[in-house]
Parts: sequence; structure tokens; C-alpha cells
Amino acid sequence: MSVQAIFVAIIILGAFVYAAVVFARKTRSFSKKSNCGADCGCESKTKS
Amino acid sequence: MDTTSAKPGIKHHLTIALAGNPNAGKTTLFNSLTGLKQKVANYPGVTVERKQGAWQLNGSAATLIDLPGLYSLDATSMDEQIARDVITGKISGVEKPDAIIAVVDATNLERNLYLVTQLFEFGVPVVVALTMIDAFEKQKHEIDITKFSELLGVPVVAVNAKSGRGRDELSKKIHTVIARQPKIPYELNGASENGGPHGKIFARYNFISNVVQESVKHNDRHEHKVSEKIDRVLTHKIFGLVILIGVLLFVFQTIFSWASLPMDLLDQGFGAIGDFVRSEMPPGILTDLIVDGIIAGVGGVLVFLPQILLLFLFISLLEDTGYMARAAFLMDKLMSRVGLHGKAFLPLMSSFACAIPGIMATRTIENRRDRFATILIAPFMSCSARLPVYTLMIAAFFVGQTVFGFISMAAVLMLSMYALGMLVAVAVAFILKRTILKAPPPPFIMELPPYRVPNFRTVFQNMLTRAWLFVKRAGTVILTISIILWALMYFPRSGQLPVASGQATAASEVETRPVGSVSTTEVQTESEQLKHSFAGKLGHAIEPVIKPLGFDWKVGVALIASFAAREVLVSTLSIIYNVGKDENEQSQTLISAIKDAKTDDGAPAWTPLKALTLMVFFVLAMQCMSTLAIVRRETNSWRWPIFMTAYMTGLAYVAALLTYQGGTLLGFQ
Amino acid sequence: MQNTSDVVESLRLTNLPIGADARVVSVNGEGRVIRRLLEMGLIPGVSVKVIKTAPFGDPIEVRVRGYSLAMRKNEADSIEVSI
Repeated sequence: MSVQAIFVAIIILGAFVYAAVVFARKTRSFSKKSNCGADCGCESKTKS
Repeated sequence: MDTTSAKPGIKHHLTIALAGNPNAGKTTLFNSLTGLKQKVANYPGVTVERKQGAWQLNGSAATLIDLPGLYSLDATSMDEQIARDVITGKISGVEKPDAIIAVVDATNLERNLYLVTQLFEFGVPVVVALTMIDAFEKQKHEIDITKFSELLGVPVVAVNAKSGRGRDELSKKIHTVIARQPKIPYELNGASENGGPHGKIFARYNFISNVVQESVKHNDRHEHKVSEKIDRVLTHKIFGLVILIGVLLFVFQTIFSWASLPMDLLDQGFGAIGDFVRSEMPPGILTDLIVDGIIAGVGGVLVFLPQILLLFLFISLLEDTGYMARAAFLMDKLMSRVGLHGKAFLPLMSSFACAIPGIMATRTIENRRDRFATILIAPFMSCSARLPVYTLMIAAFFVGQTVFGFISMAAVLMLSMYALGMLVAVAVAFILKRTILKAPPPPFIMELPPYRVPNFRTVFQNMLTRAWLFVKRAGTVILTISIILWALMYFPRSGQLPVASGQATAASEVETRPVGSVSTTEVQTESEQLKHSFAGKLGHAIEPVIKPLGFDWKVGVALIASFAAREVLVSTLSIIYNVGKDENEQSQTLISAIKDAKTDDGAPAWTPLKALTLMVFFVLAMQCMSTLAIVRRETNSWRWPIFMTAYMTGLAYVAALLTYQGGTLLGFQ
Repeated sequence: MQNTSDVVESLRLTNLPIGADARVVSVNGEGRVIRRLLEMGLIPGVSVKVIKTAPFGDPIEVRVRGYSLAMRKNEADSIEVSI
């Protein structure tokens, strides 16, 4: 495999792993850390 | 962590809580005291937002905790319970506050003071920060702060969050109250017996009325004149709604037109980057991944940054001026007819930016069924991730047309998509409240804050935060998905290619891609590869299902991908349509690629009707893993997210079907 | 608090004509909503004025203690007033 191909393999593998980790973290129920992370944003303007 | 015993001298690290009514200027004060040194998180076990920042007061470092805006601390909702727990030190990981800054809006003294009286009862030292003094003085009222402070029994400092006036005095006063036990300056113990179940409330307000009477002179003539005048027009029985629609149309029109120039620039930029990379790097798989996968995918979404910025600008403006409250007022009758809670309005409005904070904001709704109903319909409020999709479709097929001669078709369509989402939400809420989520009709009690000129610094800060989050999301979620998608579209690859259109010397061309311009032959060849890739096979597999909607297998691939995140549709189309690298504009080319795209049998892949169908699908389908994850968290079961996905996507399919088939029958194209 | 006259039916906030100045006599009922109304300042003795009604007649906007409060007729019904 060429050098390029190796890089590509690593990148693709990394992407899959990242996706799996993020999904798992999000669906775990209540955790102390904010689970908003890279998402649309979680500042809730809670004005009742 | 104790406040009374053996700590001589100045305590070096203080914990201070900031409490106050919503709309009292609490957040502005918090921002001005902490600058950008803020941290937003969640309290353990719940999703009430926890906001903390660092504040330097003469000699001591302090942690400033911004409590949620509250009218009362009697613990009927989650917000109030959390605030109580923070003040009493019951939240793990948060120190019991050494002092509380009670933010009091001078133009709204009595009601604001109610919360303050409750704070006294906790035994934590209080300092009152009096805000909106400029508005107070403009209305020609007068206050004797010394007397006011004396009667209340706590220090009172007039602050102007914007200019910073009063900040030093605030710090000084805090130091003076720490470690002193505040007294409750009115008779509380007798109140419960004498006044009945609400005795305490009466006792508090009696005290407040006395204090205000003794120290404040109100000028009745000027109160709220301006706001009332404005409201006479904006909440007019008939014109109010018309104006609301007009305002929304204007907002969409502006977002569309102002954003187009910066968007084109970004397009060109990404196109240029792609060209540059392709010309500088040796041809090969990595180059393909970077240019066709990463740059095409992430760039395709980042192009929409100007739009996102404008969207949030307008949301902020509408909220901060107080117009949002009026919109809620106007819409409430409709909302209550379907059984929606008045408190649902704000979470639903927030969902126009992103359903996730909207869903979390439903924590203020006490009734579990009302809350679930709101959570279930929040995703119908077209979130900002759908914006790129709407924009792309509209820009490709509906630009330049007008309705009634002066309103642009683009704005009308945008508004229609948002309106469609809202209508469906209302209908679904109606059904839900009648069937599985039956509950007594919810009450509606809401303050209508006076109109205010928005604090532009806050608005700007908000925009930047949002923009950053958007970019972050592009750089993580979208990037990841783009890589995965590209891989699925690239593999499996064969050296031997089925001859597509004659000219190809297939194998060698794929492996040694010439630098610079690309001949059409190669693009053809690539499209054959695409067909036989994992993604291609998947797309073909679902093609029969989506054909009645007017979509071909390529769109199918993009549809599947967009279930992870909606903007990915744009990324995927960008990658799939694998445009030639001659032109510099990418998204522009994406638009023309869409117009030129053909299905396998040569018919146009996209028509205005198909574009409309796609948008309709996106309005209604559940396509956000993150939202599902949050719903699972908030409702504590998998049942609801599954139900949500099923009914929403089913609805989306049917609606799209009706749109396409109906439109075709009616002769549209 | 009782009405001084048994003949006259108690006037509710919902029946109050727009712009009329009135005073709260009592807030009837139990529960969270009532409590909330009281906490927002609508206690016996306070002056109150109806500013306007929304399209379709509901909700109504009320001025109390120097600020504007919106509530549905349903809630306003529990508030007895006198002019």
C-alpha cells in the first residue's frame, strides 16, 4: 500500500471510532459533564 | 466552606450566587463581571443550565454562579428547586455561596423584591444590585437609596451593567456582608397561621409595599408610555398578527439576500483551496480524500456560516427587544387551543435555532405530559441545520421570482417551510393532548417586559458563540461524517472498470489523475465507480422506496447520510456530484450541478417540484442523532425517541409523497 | 374577604372593562396557578388595570405593581376585583 493509502486508512478508521464514541457518550443518561460539545449549542435561555 | 467561624481576615476564594427575575439585567451583569471567563455546564443529574464565571473583587478571587432567572424560590419547578439547592449548598461540586447578589430591576421594584425577601429567609448574606437605573430616572421616578437600603436591611448598590458603574462598590459591599447573618426584617412566623396558606406571600408583599412607599417616589404619568404606544400597534387585535408575519418575512428575506455575497466569497475560497491542494499534492487516494471528501463535505457546510450568523442575530434581536414575548402573547390562543403550555413558547422558539436547548428548556414545564408533548413537537420548529438545505434548494430553483410583485419567492418559500413545521407541530400537539398525553389545560402567566433597546454587546457575543459552535460542529461531526461517506462512496474500487461512455482508458486514468483540469471522461468514470461503491449499492437499494418522491439513488444516499445531521445533505450532494475542478466556485457549482444532474436514464435529476419535495421532507423528518440522544436522556427511555423517529419520518414520507405526486398530477414540474 | 353586598355578583378581572382602575379583592382557589398569581404580586389590596386583550380575546394584558402581566381568561377568572 502506498503512503497515501496508509494515511487514508488511519483517517477513515479514526472517523468511525470517533463517531462510535460520540454516539455512545450522548446516549448515556445524565452525566456530570456537559454533553453539548460540538453540537448546535446548549445555552438554554430558561426564562419562565 | 463555612461562613461564621475561625477564618480571620479576608477569605481568599469566594462563591457568590447571582439571583434575580428574568429580564432584570442579571445576565448582562453576569457577563460584565466575568467577561468571557464563563463556563456553561449542567448540574449533576438534571439539565438545568449551570453558568459560572470568575470574578476578581478587591483582593479575592470569586466564583460567580448565575442562577436561572426566577420569580420565586418556592420550588414548584426544577429551576427553582435547583436554585434552592445551590443556595443551601446541597449541590455536589458547588460550594455554598458566601453571599448572594440579588439583581433588582428598578423599574419593576415590588415584584423583583419578592424574590429578595425569600432570599433573606435562607440566612445567606445578600447585597442588592439595582439595575435599569437609567430607565428608572428617565421615567422621572426618584429613589432614596440610603433609606431603601436601611429599610431592607441590606446594602443596595446601583449598577449599570453596560458602563461598569457600581462594580467597585458592589465588591466592597460584598466584603462587608460576608460572615454576617442577615435578619429577616418582617414577621414571618406568625404569617402562616394568621394569613392562611398564602400568609407568607402576603407578609412579604406587605413588607415590600411599606419599603417602597417610604423610599420611592413614583411618577405615574410616565410609566410605560412608550412601550404601551408601541404595543398598541404591534399587538393590535387584527394588525398584530399581520405585522408578525411581515416581520418574519422580512427576517427571512434579509437572511437570504445579505448572506448571498459572503456565501459566494466563501464558495470561491473553498474552491480555490481545493484546487490548490490538488495541484500541490501528488495524485492519489489521500488527495482524493482531502479534496473530494473533506474539503467538499466540510466546505459545503461552512459556506452557510453567514446565514447562520444572520439567523442568530435576528433571534437575539427579537428576544432582547422584548418582541418575542409579544409574539407569544399573540399566538397563545392558538397554542392553548391545542393544549400547549404557555411556557412551551420559549422552548419552541429556541428550537428554531436548535431543538436541543429548546428541549432542555422544557424543564420549566412542571406537568410531565405537557413537557413531553412539547419535547415531541420541538423538532418541527425548523432548526438552523435545515437552513442550508432550504437555501440550496431555493437558490437552485426559486431565485428571481416574486409574489405579488414585491415579495421574493425565496422569502415566501422559506417562511412557508417554517410555517409548515409549525402547523404540523400544532396539529400533532392537538392529537397528542387528546390521546396519549392527556392533561388538564395548562395555564398561561407571562410577563410582558417593556421594550428595550438590545444590548449590542450581548447580541454580538451571542452571535459569535453561535458561529463558533457551528464551525465546531462542522469541524467535528460533519467532518467525521464526510470522511465516512467519502469512504463509502469510494470503495470498493476495481482496477477494471465497466466501460461507461466509450472513451475511457479506464484503469490508468483513475490511478494517475492528471493535475489541473479534469476531462469529462474521468468524471463519467468516477460516476461508474460511485454506482458500485457501498454507498451506491445502498442508494440503489432504497431507490424504489424514494422513487415515488421523485428522488433518484444519489439523492437516496444523501438522504440516508442526512439522518446523522441535516446539513450533511449538502455535503453529500457536494461530494456525490463530484464536480469538475475547472470552476472556482464550489457551492455555486453545486447549484448548477444540481440543475444539470441527470438520473441514470437521462432525465433531469432535479426539478423545482423535486426541490420542494425535498424541503417538505426535511421540515418533518427526524434527522438528528443528537436530538434523539437528548430526548432519550430527558424522557429516560428509548420508547420516546423511537416513537419520535417513526412518526416524524413516516409523516415526512407521506407529506413528500403527496407533494410530489400531487404536484405532478396538477401539472407542476 | 366577603362582598359587602350579597346582591351584587363579584366582579372578576375578566369582566373588568379595558382601562378601568380596580383593586384586587381576593384570589380564589388553590394550587400552583393561584400561588403563582399571588407571587407575581396580585394580592388583595393591590391596584390593577386591564390594558388589552389579544386577538381572539385571550389572553389579556394586565398592569399591576408597575409592570405588564399576560394571563388567560381562565386565570383572570379567579381574581375578584372592585372598582
